[in-house]
Amino acid sequence: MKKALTILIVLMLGTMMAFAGGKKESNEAAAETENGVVEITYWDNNASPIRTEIFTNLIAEFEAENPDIKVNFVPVPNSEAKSKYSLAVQSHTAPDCGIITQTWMSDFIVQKGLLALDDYIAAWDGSQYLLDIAQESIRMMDPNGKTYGMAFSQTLPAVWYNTKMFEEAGMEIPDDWMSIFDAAYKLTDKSKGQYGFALRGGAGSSQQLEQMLYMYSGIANSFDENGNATINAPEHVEFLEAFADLYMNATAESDITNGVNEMIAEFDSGSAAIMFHNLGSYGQHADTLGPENFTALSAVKSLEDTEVIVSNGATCNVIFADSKHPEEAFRWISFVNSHEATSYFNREIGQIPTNTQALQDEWVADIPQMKQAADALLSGNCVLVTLPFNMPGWADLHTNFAERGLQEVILGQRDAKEFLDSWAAQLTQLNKNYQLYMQSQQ
Amino acid sequence: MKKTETATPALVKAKKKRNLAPYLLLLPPVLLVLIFMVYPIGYVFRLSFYDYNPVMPWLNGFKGFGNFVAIITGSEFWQAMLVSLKWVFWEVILQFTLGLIIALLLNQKFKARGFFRALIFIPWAMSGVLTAVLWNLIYNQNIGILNDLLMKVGLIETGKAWISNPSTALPSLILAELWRGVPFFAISLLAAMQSIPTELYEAGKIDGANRWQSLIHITVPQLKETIVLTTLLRTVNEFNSVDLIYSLTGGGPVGRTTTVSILLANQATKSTNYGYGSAMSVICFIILAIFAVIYLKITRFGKEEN
Repeated sequence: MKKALTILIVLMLGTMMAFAGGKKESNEAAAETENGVVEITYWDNNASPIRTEIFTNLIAEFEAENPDIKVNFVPVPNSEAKSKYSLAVQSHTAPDCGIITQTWMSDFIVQKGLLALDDYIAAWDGSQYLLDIAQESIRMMDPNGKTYGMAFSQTLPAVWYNTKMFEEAGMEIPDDWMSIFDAAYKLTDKSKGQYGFALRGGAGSSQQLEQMLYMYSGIANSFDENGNATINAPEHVEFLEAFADLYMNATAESDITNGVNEMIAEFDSGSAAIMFHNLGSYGQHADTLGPENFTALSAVKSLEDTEVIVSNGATCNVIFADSKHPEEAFRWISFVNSHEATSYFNREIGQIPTNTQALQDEWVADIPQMKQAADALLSGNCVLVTLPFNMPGWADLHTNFAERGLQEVILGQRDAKEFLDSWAAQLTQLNKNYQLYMQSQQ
Repeated sequence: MKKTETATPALVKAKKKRNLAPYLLLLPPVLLVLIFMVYPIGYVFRLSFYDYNPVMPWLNGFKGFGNFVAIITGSEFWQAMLVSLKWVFWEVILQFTLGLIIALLLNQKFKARGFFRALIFIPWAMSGVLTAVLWNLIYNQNIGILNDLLMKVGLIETGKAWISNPSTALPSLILAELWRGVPFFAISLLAAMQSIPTELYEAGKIDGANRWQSLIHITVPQLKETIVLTTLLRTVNEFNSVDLIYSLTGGGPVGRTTTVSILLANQATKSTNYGYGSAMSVICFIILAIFAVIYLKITRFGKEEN
């Protein structure tokens, strides 16, 4: 009896110890298989059937060329990706490498969760084809100018037009914001369930607004020389007032809670003529509307009479600081960043490759909006505005303050100027705290 | 005599062993509870006194009661609390009332009773996210079945945005959650009804009690323990409910469906503002604990009726 009891207790405690040990140890144990093949884990921040298929093919090709490495692919649903990545970084259970959006990068740099890739990139032949402006923007994420990621895809924001609806109404495609709003009113016919504009009032709404504001004003910097936010510039107030007026007059009532999928569904179903979204949704529109029935403009004319492109961050490959196999992880992510893989991924997904060889591929030239964006990126004639997503807390301000505030403005419950002033004050404070902290770290 | 003297210490030893055995057997689950419940809860209490956000380390540090003061003196928490109270009140009242009616019906003898009992359980077995997808389609302004039905019977002329309109968003969510929550009460109450001795109803009948009097004077008193327990559990569940609201409206429009749990999820999970989020959790924990104690005291749960 005594012996049985002891065995039982030891077994139970042993099981508990195994659980309490966490995932990290089990990952490490699994990382090296008996035949010497190194296993690495790679997370995708935007799980979808098409991306899984792309990466399954890329991994098969990579593993055939690199039989000493096995890549475990883990797709993470986009809506929960940031919190899952954050938790993994904080608990030191992050994968070896993964895809992140540039907007998250500074959060992970501050937490020392990423590995600097400068030495790896310097030793890699293919690095000469990484798009300079994208890599420069990534270096700006770190106050010390280190490179913590390699961009392989970019989704520039753009205004999408249903050209069929414009043709039927005998209207030209507008190329500045106030003309876009005018067109939205003209194309609205509520009796037919047809609206001029598909507005995104739910999750992600204020990030879109921020992009539109700077595209409209042509202001190139989010902060002035004194470190004060420019989000409340008078031009921006003017824009927001006009934008809010669209609601219910040129939009459906349900737009106030539209997330990205609902907004795209409105455009793709032909119930909305204009939409503001990044170029990444090209494939969906092509499938539903047909490639000949829509177009997009990523460089809209600003008040300064310049063509402004707002960068909303590149899609990057990173290696996490806790990786036990950074060499193997870099071999894999450099494969994903190669000309062929970048071209394949972006062609299938409908985004802009950030590899100079891929940007000159035939398929890029065949898609007008892609070609226009690629030309703009390569020429450098456009004003490129980079939003302050390198600043920790920028995204949280959107989630916890700006999204609700924008809904209040759209519903007429809050003054546009007061909302932008409040947003600017918080951005300015955040920027000052961040700058002080960064100075203290140097 | 000698035999007795030597047997006594052995008896004491065996008794000691027997006394120790239950504790040793209980040790593993107790340790599990300590590791996976007591420690994390204790850590949340500790964090609530700190500013802790891993992405903004310049803010981190001991804050004393600063988080609590910020929460209690700010308007955001109280607005969310008001939404939570409305949400919990209507959910518990409506779910209980409908659940009781369904339980009474299912307690009758009729054909295919087993089938209907199984049918009524289906919404309870569905996940919150799946329920949200279903109700999202029902409420859709353009293709939703609700608008289609209401337009066909002439109650509305154009489709309404039920979950986007600030005045209809919360009632629409309450209806969706009601659909999912009713089976909990129906099944629990039905199970309790089946344990009521039939002799009580027969005695009532002899005394001339009609159906209503039987319900009020026999069924409800006999169900008291179940009613108290289920309403308490459901109150706590609904107060902490996130999935359906998060999936259908994300707390919008303009915070009209932002409950304390949604606010907490945004602060602690999305924004990694763990100190502030923990303080909010502690306040909710205290509120729910006080409510539970008062509720059980008032209802004299577990005490025999005189």
